[in-house]
Amino acid sequence: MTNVDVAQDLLVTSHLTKYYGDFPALVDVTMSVHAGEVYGFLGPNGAGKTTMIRTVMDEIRPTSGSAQLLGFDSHRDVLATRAHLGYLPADLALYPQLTGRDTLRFFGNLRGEFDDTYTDELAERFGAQLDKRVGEMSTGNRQKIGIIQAFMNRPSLLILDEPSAGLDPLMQRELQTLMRETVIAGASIFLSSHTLSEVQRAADRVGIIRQGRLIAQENVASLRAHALRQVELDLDAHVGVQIFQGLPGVTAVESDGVRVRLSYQGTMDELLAAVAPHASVIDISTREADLEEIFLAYYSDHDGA
Amino acid sequence: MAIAGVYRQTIRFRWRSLLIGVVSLGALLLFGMAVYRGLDPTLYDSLPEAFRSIVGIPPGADVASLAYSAIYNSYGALVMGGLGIAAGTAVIAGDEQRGLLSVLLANRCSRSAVFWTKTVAVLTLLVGAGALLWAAAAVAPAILDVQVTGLFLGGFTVHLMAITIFFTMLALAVGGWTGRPALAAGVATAVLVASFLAVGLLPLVSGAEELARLFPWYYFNSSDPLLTGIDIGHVAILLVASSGLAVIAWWGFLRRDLRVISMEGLIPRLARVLGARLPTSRLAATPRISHIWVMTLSARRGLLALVVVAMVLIMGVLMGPIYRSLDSVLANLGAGFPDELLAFFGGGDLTTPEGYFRVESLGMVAPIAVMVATITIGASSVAGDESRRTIGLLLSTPLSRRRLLLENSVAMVVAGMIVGAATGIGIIAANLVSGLGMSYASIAATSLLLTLLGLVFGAVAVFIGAATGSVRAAVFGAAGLALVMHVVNAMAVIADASWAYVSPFAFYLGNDPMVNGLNLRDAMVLLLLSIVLIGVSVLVYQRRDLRQ
Repeated sequence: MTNVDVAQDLLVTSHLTKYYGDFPALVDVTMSVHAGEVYGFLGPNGAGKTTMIRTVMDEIRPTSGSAQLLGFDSHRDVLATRAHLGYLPADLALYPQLTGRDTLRFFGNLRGEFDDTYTDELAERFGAQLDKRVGEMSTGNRQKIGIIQAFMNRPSLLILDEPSAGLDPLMQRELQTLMRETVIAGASIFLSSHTLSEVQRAADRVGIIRQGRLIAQENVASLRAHALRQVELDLDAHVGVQIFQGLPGVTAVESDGVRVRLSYQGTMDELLAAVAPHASVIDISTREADLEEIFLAYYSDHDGA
Repeated sequence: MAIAGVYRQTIRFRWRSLLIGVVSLGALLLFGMAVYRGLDPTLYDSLPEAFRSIVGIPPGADVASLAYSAIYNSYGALVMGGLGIAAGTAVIAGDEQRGLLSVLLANRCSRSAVFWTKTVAVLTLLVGAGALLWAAAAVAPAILDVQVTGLFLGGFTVHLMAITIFFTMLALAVGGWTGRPALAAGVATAVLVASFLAVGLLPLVSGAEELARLFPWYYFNSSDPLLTGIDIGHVAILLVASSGLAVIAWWGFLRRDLRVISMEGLIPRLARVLGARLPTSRLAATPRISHIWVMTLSARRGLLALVVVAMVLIMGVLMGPIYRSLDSVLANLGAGFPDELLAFFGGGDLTTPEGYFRVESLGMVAPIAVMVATITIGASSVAGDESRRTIGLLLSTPLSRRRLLLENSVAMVVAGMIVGAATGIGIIAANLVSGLGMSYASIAATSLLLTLLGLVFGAVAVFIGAATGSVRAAVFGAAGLALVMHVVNAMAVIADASWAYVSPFAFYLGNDPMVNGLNLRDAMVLLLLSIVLIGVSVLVYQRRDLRQ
């Protein structure tokens, strides 16, 4: 069995580019997934998320650039990585004639190991029906089998493409917990999704892809820190909006005299210092932008660009 | 309007395969006519009447009638029947399995409206295909400057279309009642093959002649429509039966629950009802077993069982007793037939059991049986994982593309060997039961060559599947090539041309293994051809992007 150095970046792409004819599905994507993190890969439908995953998984070949999985070239050394890899493709398809348990055994055998105990434990957590044939399962129950097969051999790297598709909220939460436990145990997860709340809850870092290009890659915390916040100031005197309009980082100011609402990107010190000569602040409330707002902001910025 | 859209969509999805079939038949007709043009047709007039009747040579046969008989009467009817079955299966049961029917019925279309619109669309296509076949039949003699006199091309085409519509409606009826495309295609194909064989064989058996009337094929060609024109009664029987089947299909489709997407086959279903667990299922789930080829074979075990049972029954139960009841008739025909004539039917001397087996079953039925297994498994394994979208998950395991393709090829080889062996066992059974005195070594040699022939076209299916990822392309491509190669071989033998050896069929029966035993060169050529095709498939498969 191949030894995997889990201290290094487990998924690395370098200038990865894929054209379908003249259509650029993936352009110059350079990114990495560090050991022990969940990397959220965000983008709307058709942005290139699945193309990125299929290229990294060697299902399709890059026009240029390269990718490494677990320190090995994703094309040349493809088999070296597979025993340590868990994969859940988007739009999961399984063999309808097999039961859930047969499916898990089949893939377990292909990977070289099958741990009945751990598989049963996962099945119990997700309430999966292992003795029913896959062809007779609902979409959600089929997805549970897909999730279990991705996690069951305790891989070093998991590549999950829209993993919560078809799951009910309870199961989505269970999946979040499992991902967190898996990362704490030392594995890394590449989580592709357009469900922002899912990525926000699970990811340590995110990459945002748009029209095949990686337009941002940051820690979720730092992304949110740098993001716009909604600020509401209650003042003891009437203040005009013109005081705020010239301040760096301030947008969308509204005022009804003593209450001012604005969007702000920067530190509170700077904002309060600007208000101080004109009025005292009686109360202040702020709300951090969630990932959805950040995401939309990125897209509206680039659309306007 | 929604219903107009359903009509257009059905036409749009189905016209290509029919057009390819019709164009191929037209091209084969041209080829066949060109070959017959170089022969002296008067030699057929000297044949005994009984023999002409058996092999279907009309009195006063000329170049054109021989070509029409050879290409349209056998290949044409089988190909059009097959295409009709594919269309009849796909429009209801196929769309239901793909989940398209649910989406369609969520619109403002009733089940009845969807059913009849799709049925009319398929009939439109079949009528269009018939018109094109008629046009090809009319144009071919002009191109080759061949005289056509006293033939009823229009009447013959009407008969051809009537039998095609019958099998289309049969597939539609089974699909309409069950929602199972595999069952619909299987039942309709089984009836087609049984009917083709029965109408060929039963008239030869004293006292059983009238039984042929029970089979639809009888109403296609027993009245010799090419020479006598339309037999209104026969055409009416086929069309009334087709209408009845359409109504049955509609009724069944209307009254049942639509299926959820499920691929449970007939055999697993029976096993479930009986509370049994299939050995193949146990095998696939056994921790020691992690072989793709076991999975692939397991998924196609129903088809394999059907083909194996059919071949054992045809060879072991039917052929021997029929030969015994015919041998005096055949002996009276004498041995003075031109080899050219028998070549088309696989060659061989009808007065001997070896020649009889060769002409009646090994020439066409046995290759079809073995190819049904090898082409289906060859096409649905490699390309099938792409079309089923299981390929991504499979290749996320330590399984290389090369190993995946080779394991699937092993499944195809094992399937070919099983059908080849079943055919051999059937012939041996006939030999024992009817005391035919054939050499067991020669039977084994023939079974081996039959298996190898199946492997060649199975490997073609693997290659096309590996190159395109399309199951349809692999099935139609391999089956189409097999058809062309069969015709090329038959025509080359008729014309006594050395170019027969461009066809793999020449290496199968070319040296008459039922009489002469195994020709090692023939076996090696077929084996090498299969190996080369699989090798090239690996190269192609490793290089290309997989379909999503």
